[in-house]
Amino acid sequence: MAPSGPRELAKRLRAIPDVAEVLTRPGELFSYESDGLTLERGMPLCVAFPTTSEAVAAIVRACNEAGAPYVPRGAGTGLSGGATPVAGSVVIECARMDRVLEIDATNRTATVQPGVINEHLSHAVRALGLFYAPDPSSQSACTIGGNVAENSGGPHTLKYGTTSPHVLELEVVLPDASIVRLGRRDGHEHGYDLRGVFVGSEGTLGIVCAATVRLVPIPEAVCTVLASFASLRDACAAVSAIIARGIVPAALELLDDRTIEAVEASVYAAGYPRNARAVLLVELDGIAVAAERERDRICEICSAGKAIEVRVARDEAERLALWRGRKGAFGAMGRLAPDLYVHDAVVPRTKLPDVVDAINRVAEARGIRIANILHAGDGNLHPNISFDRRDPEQLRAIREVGEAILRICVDAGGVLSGEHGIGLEKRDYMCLMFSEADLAPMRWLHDAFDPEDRCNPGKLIPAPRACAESNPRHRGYGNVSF
Amino acid sequence: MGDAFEAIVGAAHVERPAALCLAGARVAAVVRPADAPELAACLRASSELGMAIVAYGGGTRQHFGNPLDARECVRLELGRIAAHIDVDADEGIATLDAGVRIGALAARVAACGKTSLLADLGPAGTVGGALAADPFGPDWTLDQRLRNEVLGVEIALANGELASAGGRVVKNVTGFDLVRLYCGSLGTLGVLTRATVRLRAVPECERIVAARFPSLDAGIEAFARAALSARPAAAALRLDRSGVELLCRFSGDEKAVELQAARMPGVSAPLESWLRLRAELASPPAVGRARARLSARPSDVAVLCRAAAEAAGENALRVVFPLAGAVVAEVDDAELPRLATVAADLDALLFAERAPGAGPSPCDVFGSPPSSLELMRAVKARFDPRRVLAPGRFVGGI
Repeated sequence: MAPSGPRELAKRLRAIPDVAEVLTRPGELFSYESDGLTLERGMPLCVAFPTTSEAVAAIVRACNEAGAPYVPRGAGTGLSGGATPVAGSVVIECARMDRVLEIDATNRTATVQPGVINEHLSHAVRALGLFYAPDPSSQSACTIGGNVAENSGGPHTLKYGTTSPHVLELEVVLPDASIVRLGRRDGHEHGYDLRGVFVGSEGTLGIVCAATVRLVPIPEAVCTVLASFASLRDACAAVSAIIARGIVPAALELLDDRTIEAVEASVYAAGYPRNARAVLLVELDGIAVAAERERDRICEICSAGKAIEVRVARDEAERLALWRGRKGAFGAMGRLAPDLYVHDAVVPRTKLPDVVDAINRVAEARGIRIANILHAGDGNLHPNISFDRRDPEQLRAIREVGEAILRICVDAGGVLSGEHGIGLEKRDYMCLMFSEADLAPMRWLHDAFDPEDRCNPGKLIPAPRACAESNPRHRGYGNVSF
Repeated sequence: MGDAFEAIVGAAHVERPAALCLAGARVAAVVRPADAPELAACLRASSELGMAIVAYGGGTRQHFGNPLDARECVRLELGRIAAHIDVDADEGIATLDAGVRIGALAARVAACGKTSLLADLGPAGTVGGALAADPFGPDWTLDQRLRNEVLGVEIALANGELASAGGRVVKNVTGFDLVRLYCGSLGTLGVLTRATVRLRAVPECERIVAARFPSLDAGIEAFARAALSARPAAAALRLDRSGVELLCRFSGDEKAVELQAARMPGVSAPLESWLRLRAELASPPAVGRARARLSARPSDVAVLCRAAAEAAGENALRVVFPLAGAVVAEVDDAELPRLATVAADLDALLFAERAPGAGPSPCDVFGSPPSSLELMRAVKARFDPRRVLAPGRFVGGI
């Protein structure tokens, strides 16, 4: 871009109809230099707030003509640096595209703009006996557009799936500034599943401007069980036993002792037993008679599996309190240090205890205490590291432990991310899982959408050389035992 | 031409049939690779020769898609790539070679008390063929889609490389979700050689409830009234000379199934009635006939039925799927364009199956192309720049 370019571009963006605001002052831009992953930062050129699809397309067109990269952003709650701008990018902030465009109760769908907050959608359809199932922990703040970009999950993913199976149709602005529809609002496929690849593409293939999503009937009954254990291994064994019995709970969450300690010392205190080394939070929903039978079977399994205590929430207030503790756990850790690194990886669920042990050992060797939250039913771990990023030594240790966690999980047959995405955080670790031959189709797909590489550049796909450098096989430490 | 393939798989595994056709093209050679690397090498050879190639599993879905946009082709059979069946009941996953027959898979997982959406498809088909076709069936709902059950794949690409996508865990957002791109792409982006799929516990109870109605409208209305509380897993309205029969399938916890089934009008029917419906829809249409599926939102099925009946006659309607929002009609091949027009007018999706070996199609069997067709072409061009992978068979002649 020419030296006068940034000012000219901002001026041009301000002139676009339905662009509510364009921020350019450094003090205003500060909030947009990272998402929830504060390890990575980049100062944007400016931040534009469109309110319509046409305005998004006009911004993209203007960026293309100015040769400026751009980054779509929702609420900025992502945890992998997906919305962190590479220096000099235009941030296209979709938070003000926050209208629910249509609710179709008959067909159980809703069409929303990308800035609609996840939880607000469920509130909007509750009176119709429906809800929107994907429930990230940040659901009171994160947006549907961000959820689509990251293919977000949440505790109830075990039964209901991540965001992808809930998205039927997308209206997107492509990197050439055209507006197209991907998928169909009836959910039937027509050609390649471009809707399917767009969901979870982390804003690198285009910008979501509207999404038609499925709504799910509110279950007739919901039962929540809290089981506490003397060891994390016993809790994991109970998880395996539950799955082996063919029960698919709506949620099957595991919190370790450090997480319990943080929650119980915070405003989110839920009455989790402080003497337990791990608790399982199990939720069953559906037809009342089935949910109650499954609840009883869960209680039996946990009791037979060395649970110290098994408690069924007696009423909705107690159930909500138990969940408030779980959903507030990340916030509770905010009391421990100024920054929190929420890691995310998935392993085969039968390997959870060994993997958690290995992670804790690696972290303790570097003087770091990890608090674990697990979506245990689907093998998704969130090792949480509280730290102070102003301390360079801590920062170095965090990065080393983060890398070690990924290697441990991949060596155990797992994957780099279960719900946070790759973003900047894990881009160069993609080669732990994928060969160059595996990555080539990802590059082809990206090239078909964004041949100029202007849409959220630098995310998700490693450069071929970076891949060679970061691959542990190239660096000679491929076999990390655990 | 055959020499290139003989050098890869050995002369004993290349056949040159005198008069064999596939998707409207002459089969120049039938090639049977022993494993995935051989298969990938065949794709590279095919690209270098500019020879169209069609992957062939059990042959049960080869009538899907448009005629091949080539005069001759190589039929690449996966029958020898069928040794690997790894069922991990504790993790609830199975990893399978693409040439594994669905029947073999179903038997193996059933022995572990598990099942899979794949197992509901015909036993003669293969895992690779089923995933490449991702067929619609009576059990299809937004919750019961085959591609949602696929966790990872290995695929042979047109450049001769073998690539993996996804993984072997039940939750994964690592990189682009290429698994979804490959599933249902009819072998036009690559040839699947292995897949890992999710397994489910065999339901404690399955029940079919059947009810008869004097008209389709009466059946649709009765279903709509009862379905809200009964919540069947799947439902179909079958049309025959004596009227309309509503079949609802319930599965899951025994007591819950009893309760739900009691909320639906009708009487208990044998499970075979549902299995028969699956088999009917899985078989290709008779010579000269076409089976068309028109799909839209569930609330649109009555309108779709009326429009299809008006265009092709009342007798053309065969089955209506009120939960899936789909109508299946059977017509003479030549009448297919009328149903394509109905679909276009109502913004419904058309998917037509024609008899195996049927000649040129009177219209695109996928109906009007979607607005994203150019993007799909761009994807195809990058994955298959020489356009040798089943050219012309997919949406919009991709």
